Amino acid sequence: MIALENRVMPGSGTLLAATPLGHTVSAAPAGGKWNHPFKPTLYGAGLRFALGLVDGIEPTIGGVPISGGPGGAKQPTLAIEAGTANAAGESWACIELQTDEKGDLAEGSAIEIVHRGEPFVSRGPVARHPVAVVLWKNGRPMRALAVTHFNLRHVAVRLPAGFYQHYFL
Amino acid sequence: MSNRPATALHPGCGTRIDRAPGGMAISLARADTRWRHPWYCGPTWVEADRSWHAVVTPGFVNGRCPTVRTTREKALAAARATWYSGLVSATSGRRDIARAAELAAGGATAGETAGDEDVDMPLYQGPPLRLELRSVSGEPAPEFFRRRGVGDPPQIDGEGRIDRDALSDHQPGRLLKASDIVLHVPRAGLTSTITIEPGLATGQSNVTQRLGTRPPAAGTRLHLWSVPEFDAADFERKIDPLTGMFEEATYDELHLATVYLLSPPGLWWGTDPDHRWTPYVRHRVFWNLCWDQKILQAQRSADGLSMVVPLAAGAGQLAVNFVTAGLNDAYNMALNIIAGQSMAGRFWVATGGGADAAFPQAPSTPTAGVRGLDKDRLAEAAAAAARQKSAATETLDPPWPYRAIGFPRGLLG
Repeated sequence: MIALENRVMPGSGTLLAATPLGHTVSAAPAGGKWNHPFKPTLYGAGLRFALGLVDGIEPTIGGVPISGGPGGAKQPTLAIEAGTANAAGESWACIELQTDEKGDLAEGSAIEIVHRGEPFVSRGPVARHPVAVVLWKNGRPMRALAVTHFNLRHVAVRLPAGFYQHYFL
Repeated sequence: MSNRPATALHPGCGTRIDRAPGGMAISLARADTRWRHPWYCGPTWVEADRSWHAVVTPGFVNGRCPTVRTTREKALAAARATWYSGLVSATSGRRDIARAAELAAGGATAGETAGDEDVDMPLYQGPPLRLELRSVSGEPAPEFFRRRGVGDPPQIDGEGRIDRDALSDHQPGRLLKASDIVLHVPRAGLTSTITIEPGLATGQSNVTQRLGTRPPAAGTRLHLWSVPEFDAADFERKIDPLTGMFEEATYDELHLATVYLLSPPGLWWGTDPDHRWTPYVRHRVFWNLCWDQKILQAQRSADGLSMVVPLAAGAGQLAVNFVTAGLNDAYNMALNIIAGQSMAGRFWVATGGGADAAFPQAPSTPTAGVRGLDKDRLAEAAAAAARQKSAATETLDPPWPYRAIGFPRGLLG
C-alpha cells in the first residue's frame, strides 16, 4: 500500500495505468506549433486571429485590423454565437469581401472576418473563404481549428453567364 | 515508494522516469516537434477489431471536414488505443482518455445509434479508419523498406499467380503491406447521349450529342476511405466508347497518404499483420484544400455547327449537332466534347502564391554537374549526393515546408 502523500495521480495529459506488475505512466508528446497567418485563438466567447493578409491588405473585425493595427489599438475579438452553428455543431470564421462589377474590391468596402454558418461562397458579388472552424458542444465553443495557414490572394473570373467566380489562391 | 511490484512505477508511452535519491522525476521521453499537419495519419492497432486503423488529423476541403464511416464501439476502442497520440482530443483540446472516449462515442453524428451501427463521424472526433491492406511483398518494395530488410518477392507467373514451388523455397523475412487513404468528394458529373440519324448527303450522318449533368449518388458525402491500392486512372475507365459509355464519375478522389506495415523479421510469406508490425506513413497532402469544378456552359465547337441550349442552373443541358461521315468520327468528336466540358473538380492549396502554389525549390546540390580538378568541390559534391541519397532512404515524407498543390490555371477559363 502506498502512503497517501506518496500516491501517484495522473495529471493533465498523462495516463496512469495500474497493472499487476505496477503502475505505468504515459504522456502525450505534443506536436510542434507555428504561428501561421490567421491562426485562430479562442478568447472567451470570441475569436482572435494572428496577422494575415488578403492581397496585401489586413482584414478587419468591426473596422479594426485583426492584429490591432499600427496605432497600438487593442486586438479585436470576433464575437461568435452558438445560434450560428449548424446541426453538427460547426460554425466558421470567414474572410468576406464584396466586389464591384469589375470583380475588384468594391469601393468603400473592407475585407472583413465574420462568423457564419456556411463556410464558402464562390459565386456572386460576395466572396467568402473560411479561416477557422469553431466546434460547439452544449452551446459553448470547444475548439477553433485553423483552416487557412497562409496569406491569401483573391481572383475573380467573369463567367459567360454574367457573374463572377471567386478563387482564393 | 515501495519496491513491491504492485506499486512499482514504470515508464509508459512517451515518458521517461529518472530515479534519484530524493525521488523520481517523470518527464517526456521525446520532444516530438513535428507539426501535425492536416491529413496526418496515425496508424494504430485496435485490439477489439484485431486490425490496423488510422486516425487522421482533421483536414478541411473548402472549410468542411470529411467523415469516416465507423461504429461507436470501434471509435471507443481506437480512442483508448490512440489517446496518447493527441489525435483524439481535437474537440476538447484535452488529452484525457475518458473525455476523448466520451466524445468519440457520443459525437453529434452518433446520436442514438447502437454501438455496432455504422455512423459517419467527422475527423475532428477522431474516428478510426480501418485499413484495407495489400501485400507489397508481392512486388519490388521501395528502397526505404529494402534497407530495412524487406526481401525480394516470390516469383509470380504471367497471370498474377504465385509460383507455389518457388514459394516453398522462399525464405522467411520481413514482409510489407500497404493501404492507401483516399479523399472522396461527391460532385455533379457530365452525361452524354448521342443520337445518329441519316444525313442529307449519302454516307453522312447527323449526330446530336446532348450533354447534361448528373447529381452525385444519394447519401454520398465528403469522406475518407481506405483502399488496398488507389488507381488514379479509374475515372478514364468510366468513359468507354466501345460500349457507348459516355458518363463521367460523380465524384473526385485524391490520394492523401499510404500507410505501410512492416513485419518483424522471420515471417513466412502470407502472414497476416498484427500488433507486432511497425507502421510507416508516406503523406502526399499536407495542407487544407480548396476544391472547385467548372460549370456546364455554352460553347461553340470548332466546326461552327454547334447549337447550345443551356437550361436551369444545376440541370443544364447542351445539344451539340454536327455532321460526320463515320461512327468512329462521331465517337471521337463526342469524346473531345466531353473532355472539353468535363466537370471534373480540381484541388489546390491556398498559399497566397498566386497561380503557382508550389513552394520555392530548395537549392539543388551539385552532383553530376561538377567536373574538373577541384578536389574540394568534387568531395563536397560527393558528400552532398550521399546525403541526398541517405535522406531519400531515411524518411518517407518530404522535409518542411511541405509540398502544396498548385492552383489549376484551367479554372480561370
